[in-house]
Amino acid sequence: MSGLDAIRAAAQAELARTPRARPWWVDALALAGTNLGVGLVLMVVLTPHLEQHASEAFRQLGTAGLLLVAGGGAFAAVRPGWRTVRWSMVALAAGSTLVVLAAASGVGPVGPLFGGAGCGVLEGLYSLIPVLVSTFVLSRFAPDLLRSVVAGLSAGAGGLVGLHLHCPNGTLAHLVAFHLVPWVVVSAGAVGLRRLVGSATWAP
Amino acid sequence: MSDLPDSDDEALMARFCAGDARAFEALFTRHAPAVRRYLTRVSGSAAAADDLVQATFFSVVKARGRFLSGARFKPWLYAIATNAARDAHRRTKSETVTDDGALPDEAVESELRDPGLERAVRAALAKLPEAQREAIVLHRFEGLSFAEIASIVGLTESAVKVRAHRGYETLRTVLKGVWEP
Repeated sequence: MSGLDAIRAAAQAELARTPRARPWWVDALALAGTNLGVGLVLMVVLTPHLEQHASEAFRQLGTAGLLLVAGGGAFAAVRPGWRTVRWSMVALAAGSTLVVLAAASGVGPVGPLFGGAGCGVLEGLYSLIPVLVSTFVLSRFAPDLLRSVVAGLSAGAGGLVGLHLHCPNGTLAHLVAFHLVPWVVVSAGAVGLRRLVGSATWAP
Repeated sequence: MSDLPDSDDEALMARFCAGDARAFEALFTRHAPAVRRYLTRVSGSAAAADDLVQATFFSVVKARGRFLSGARFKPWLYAIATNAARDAHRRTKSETVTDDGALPDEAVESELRDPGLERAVRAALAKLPEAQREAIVLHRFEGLSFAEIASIVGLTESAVKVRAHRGYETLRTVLKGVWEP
């Protein structure tokens, strides 16, 4: 049996093990469902503190932007092609960040760092399951830095929504240091975790 | 079955995604030799290329649900092969080259029938950075358009043209008077 014949036989055996094609949107739905699920559960379960926000309109805009990153980012990360959409999601995440900062009320219970470490740790915990799910899903793809970044931002966005509506500290320094920086750290962690995990396929 | 050999790649892929294993068989028969040749050229080793061909077609099987209707099959297939080759290159961190810096004999089993010319082309290809070599092998030897190569490597068409241009310039310099790429 020649080399290619052996490879053909092995590929046919693999095909026999996976007789049904798995559409890309199955993974996208799983990822978006996880990210949005975390955000929505936190919105329902946690007591809202709206004094953090100087403007109701900006609060709603920031929340909508983050939820769009959580859900839309999952689809953008997983769908084949869509490179421009992935860049758009990065831009949307940056835009949502600016809106969150613009809405900062400056009201802080006991100074700007009150509850700071707690917020950062909570955001990490909220994002744990989405990051693990996104790593699992992306391990079926060839490594792609932009895809990983978008998936990481998307995984962290759900937890950030919950934190954003629950935290009573509206000082700019607190929002930057303990809400937004942890989001970036979570995203970077997701990218790093994806790099550590091998790829099950080399398909884009 | 009799209509399979005449079907285009995309029609075969659609049938494959719908569960027709014979369509995969037809795609494999049509493309596996060329993919192996390509992977041999970029990896520099026939043995490594066989492993990469297997990884490529395993990926085609496992990820066929991600092949979009309306997309072209050949660029998708070569994107998979290129990703597999890049990963292998990263893991080994070194290219398989002979002591004099050329790719080994099986790497360029090409239409170049002159052994001396083949050796010269092998040596010249081995001197190119991986990204330029990919662009040239895909364009010159596999006959893909720059637009198709751009979709394979995830760059703009202009960026791929720049890579290929630089690679061709190097090849022209190294192979001056011997071979016109």
